[in-house]
Amino acid sequence: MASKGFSKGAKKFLDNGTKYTSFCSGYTYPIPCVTRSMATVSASVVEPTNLSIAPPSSDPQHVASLPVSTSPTPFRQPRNPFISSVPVTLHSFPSMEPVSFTTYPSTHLLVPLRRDILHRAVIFEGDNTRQGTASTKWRSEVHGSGRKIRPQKGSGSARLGDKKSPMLRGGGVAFGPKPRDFGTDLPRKIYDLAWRTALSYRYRRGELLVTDDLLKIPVRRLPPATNLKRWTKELLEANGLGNGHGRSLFIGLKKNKNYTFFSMLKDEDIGRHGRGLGVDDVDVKDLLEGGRVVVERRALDLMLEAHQSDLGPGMRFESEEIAEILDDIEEPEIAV
Amino acid sequence: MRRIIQFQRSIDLLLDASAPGTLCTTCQLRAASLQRRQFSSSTSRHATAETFLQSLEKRLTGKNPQSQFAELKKVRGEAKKELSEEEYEAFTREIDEAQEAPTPEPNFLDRDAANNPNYKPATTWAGLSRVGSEEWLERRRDKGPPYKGWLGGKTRGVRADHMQAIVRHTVVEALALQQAGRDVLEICDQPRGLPDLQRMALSASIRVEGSGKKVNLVYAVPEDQERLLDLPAATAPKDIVEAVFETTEQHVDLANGASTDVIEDELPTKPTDQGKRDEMPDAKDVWLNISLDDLSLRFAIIKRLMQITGRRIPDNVTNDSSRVSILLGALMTKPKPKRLNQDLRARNQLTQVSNVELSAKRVTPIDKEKKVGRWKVIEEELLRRGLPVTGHRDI
Repeated sequence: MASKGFSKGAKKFLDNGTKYTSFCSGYTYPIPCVTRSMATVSASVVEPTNLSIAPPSSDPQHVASLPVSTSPTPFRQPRNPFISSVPVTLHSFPSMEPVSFTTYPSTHLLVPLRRDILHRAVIFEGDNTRQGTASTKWRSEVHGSGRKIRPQKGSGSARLGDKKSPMLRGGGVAFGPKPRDFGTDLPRKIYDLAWRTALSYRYRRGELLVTDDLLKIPVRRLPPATNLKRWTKELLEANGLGNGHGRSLFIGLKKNKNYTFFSMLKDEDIGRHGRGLGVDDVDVKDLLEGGRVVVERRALDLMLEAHQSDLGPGMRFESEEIAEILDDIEEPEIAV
Repeated sequence: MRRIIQFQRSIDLLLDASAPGTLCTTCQLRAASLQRRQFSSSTSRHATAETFLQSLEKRLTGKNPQSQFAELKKVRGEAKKELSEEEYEAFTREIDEAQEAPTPEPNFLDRDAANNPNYKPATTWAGLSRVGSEEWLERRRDKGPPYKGWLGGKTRGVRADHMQAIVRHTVVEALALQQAGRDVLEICDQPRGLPDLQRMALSASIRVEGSGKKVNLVYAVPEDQERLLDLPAATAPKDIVEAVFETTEQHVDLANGASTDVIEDELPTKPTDQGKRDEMPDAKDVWLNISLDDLSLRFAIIKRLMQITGRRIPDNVTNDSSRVSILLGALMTKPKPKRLNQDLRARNQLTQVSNVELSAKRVTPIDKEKKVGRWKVIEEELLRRGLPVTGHRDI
């Protein structure tokens, strides 16, 4: 399971004190990122604009003497025919009414299924989640003296040293477990690809629901005497999100974790129907568990922006609201 | 009329506080609200108070509320057979009103021996209401409304052959709005239900030019276009389907001078062959080739179909639905069964093999013993010896 703050998997890829944009920052590529527009196909790659073109000389005296500078034809990168956009339905919450379409690039939500990459990512997360605190005492650590128990020769029995020998009862453990770090490394690009592969897997199976609104119960609009547990249970059952339909994972921005809906999901009874996580607590394994993933649009944008290091600069996703999202959320707690 | 007077007498007895106290007050009041409106015009009976109350008690004081509802259903069925149409309508209307009306608080004073001389404490718990649990307290405190989502929580089962008609109807409505320059999402507005709309939508002919991107609607009657746009749509698939199969087939003549690449659409016909119900329609149904590349049109159609069918259409289907035919195919496809035994039964595999038995749950040794009939004896003996029947005994 993910630890506090960043998930252990993603933690490895962050420097201390940096934000999500650390993945994208530092790159100053001239070709702008593919942006997402509402209900339309995303724009194709725009031709580069930084190539300088030598202006023709304006001095008439030099016109005859100077050679005519023929500006080189700017290189137009051909459009990648394999990149398209996929429509995603935005729902309102809590009514789950389809509100509109939005589009995401196929490089993010239509990635081909690679089970081996998913496997590597899940194992990587599991390894890094391990506490590694199992410990036993070696013979030198067992409490006791080093006195030789019986003489070397003459007793008729096998020769023995001290009573802490692993051969003896009460002695140390030979080759027993010791606290150690079980963490492994995985290239960041593979981990990011696994993340997007997991989201694409969910999208392809129709198990990715995106909400335009925050995952909040409208407590103020309900009468004060409303049993919120009963209401939440009815919400989950009416929309086919509960236990009878394979349970759901709800992902919100970090600050929404304290909202009523997420605290309802922590209840023993309601918790059987679903689980709520902040966007920084989610792992690839969490995305693959359960019947479906219900995610806020801004949280999805954040996840896609944070996990695209394997993509070239012309294929990166940039949300229009990312600056606002980053201002809203607190800095993630990263344990050193 | 004589019979009604007799029933009224028994109803008065029922409501009387001197009625036997073995019947719980809630059931008494519920019975009273039913019997006040129930009368039979079948064979004449001399209903005595005792016989009536006894039969009422048997029918309505079931061990669980569901038996009461089952009885109510039977009562409705009997009333429908015996009463005239007007009387039955009045009867059902009053029952519905009575059920919707809040049950009045029972008068607990009648249950006290000091107030009711005929009070007899019950010997069994049949018919008594249960009070005092945590859940009961929570239910009493809960004054909030039930959750009401957009989909309504109930999936309306739509047959595959009806689905074609529904999709065509929706496409025509959406195209009509689009061509009138209005917002296509208006088809998802809350309906008020008028059958005339379906006739107009279904009698309109769809002309598809080129690769399905240019579509024209030709109406049977020119005034239909304005009326189609003004009238709201019905939601229930039953209304739409009934309108489809009541409409006579109409073929709209192509206007003179139409281009050769325009293909005339044909209206859906009533399926005569029941075996072909689940098959896809023929390729000659041109409306299936209409392009849905316009995302606003696609969204409006999909949202409207979700409203009608009560099923959520997932994003992967939305992504693939570049044409109406693909969307229709996805809607007509039955979902895969979740359990292996359901899948095998649906495909009729291994059901004929004599030495294979399909079971819905895992067959345990207890199931095998139960099948043979030995389990009762084993269980009795284990209990007699004080041994755990299943699992391990806590030491």
